[in-house]
Amino acid sequence: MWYFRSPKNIVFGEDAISYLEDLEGKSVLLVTDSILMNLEIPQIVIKLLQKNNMNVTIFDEVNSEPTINMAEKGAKIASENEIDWIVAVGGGSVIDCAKSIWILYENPEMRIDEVFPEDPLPLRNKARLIAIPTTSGTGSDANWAVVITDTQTGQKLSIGHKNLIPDISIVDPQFTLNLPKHVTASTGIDVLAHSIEAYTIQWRNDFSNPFALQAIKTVFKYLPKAVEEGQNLKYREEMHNAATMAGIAIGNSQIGGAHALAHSAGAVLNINHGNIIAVVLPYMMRFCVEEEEVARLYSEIAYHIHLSFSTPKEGALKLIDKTEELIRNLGLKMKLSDFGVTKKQLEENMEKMCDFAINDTGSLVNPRDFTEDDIKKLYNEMF
Amino acid sequence: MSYKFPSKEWIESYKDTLNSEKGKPWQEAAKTWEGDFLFVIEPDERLEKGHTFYIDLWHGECRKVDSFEEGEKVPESEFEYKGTYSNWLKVISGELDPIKGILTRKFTLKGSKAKVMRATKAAKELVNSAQNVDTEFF
Ligand SMILES: [Fe+2]
Repeated sequence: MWYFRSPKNIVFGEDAISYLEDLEGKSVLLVTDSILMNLEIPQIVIKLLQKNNMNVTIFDEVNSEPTINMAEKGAKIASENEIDWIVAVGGGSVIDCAKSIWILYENPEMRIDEVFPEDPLPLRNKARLIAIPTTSGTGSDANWAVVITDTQTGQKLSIGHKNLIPDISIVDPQFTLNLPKHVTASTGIDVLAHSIEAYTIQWRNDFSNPFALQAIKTVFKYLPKAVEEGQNLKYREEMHNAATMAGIAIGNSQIGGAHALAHSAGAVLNINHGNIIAVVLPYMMRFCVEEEEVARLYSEIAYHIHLSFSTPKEGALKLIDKTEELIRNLGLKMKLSDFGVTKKQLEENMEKMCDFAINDTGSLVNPRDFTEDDIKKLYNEMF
Repeated sequence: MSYKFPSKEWIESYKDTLNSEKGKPWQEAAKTWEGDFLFVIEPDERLEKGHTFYIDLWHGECRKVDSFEEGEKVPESEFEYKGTYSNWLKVISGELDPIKGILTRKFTLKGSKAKVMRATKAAKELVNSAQNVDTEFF
């Protein structure tokens, strides 16, 4: 027995944002970051909401990956303004922060780290959630996951609950047209990581697989084009849809070891998610491919992106090579040392990184189980 | 040698397994874990009377276990993982992932979720270690 869950409405494609013209409500908390505000991107949304006579309160403080403190502050503002819609305009950090604000706004007595699947989580008594992604990466607009940093310990917590799936996801490519090349590239590799992990994880299933596969095909075909020609709405739309599809895929299966190691190293070494996942993904794939079943699944992917091979193992290795080639050609960093991490720093933080990684939810159902020694070895290889 | 599930001998063997080389995945993930568990086996058409195991865990070591039949007084404990006998059999045979068990409501977990969410792998390996006990089913 398993479930398939997604937002009730996914509005996608050019002009999807016009969906807001018919939105009814009184008071909106618009969650975003100040960089986007300076680029006047949330203002497009604000204008539409105000046209509907909705009162809009702006919370634009999600300037880093979200923390519990940030969510508490947002929830307080939501309460003061009796909001009935939370609208997240931004990347994964903004959307995850909006979900966390929502939890605390509806349940002031609750602690975010107490959210647990299948425990009661009352939501929608006060407000509903609209996610408008402005990067093509996270997929958080389409699933139940939240990654939030516990400021006290520095650990990145992955929490999840079915009620946290946004009510509406608006996947409008216009919001991504001006993304810088390196952001397009790194968030695009995150899409690839989501879909490759979803497709190979122990919890893979018939409903999540097609979303994963479609996203993988799109990334290989359109990510280089979207990076090269950022103003091309068609390329942007393809990548934007792929991000949400990959979000659905992981939401209905699970993230894996690449994410466990990326969450951990990202938090400890202070490297953002898209950049660190680009480093980790190929190493984790080479680790996983030793399992015969994983090699078979990688070769299925290889077939779908038109690589030629004669045995599953050969196909699998070609997929890994292709993934590395893509990351390299996009100009992304491929080693921890490329971020200025020193050997000494790595060694000093190794134990903490292993501890965080091993207990990350991404470690639960990786296609190949790993031990602490495996993690150490992988981090050293990545150095 | 195989042990009947549930029985005092079974939980003793489970303790030995956790503390042995086979328990290494759990030991590594539970390095900083402090907190005891109850495994509650609810009766169903295949098991007449309920059964509860007590498991005391500390920094990657299983220090103590105990076994209680239905009606006996069970010690207080920080966490409780509960499911029917049939579902326990599925977990022990590897047919059901213990986390999926919670997500599909075949099992319930009581206790500080904040603590478990920081040690998800430790919790999973704790239950998965039951697969390493040579089990004889009623
Ligand atoms: Fe990711």
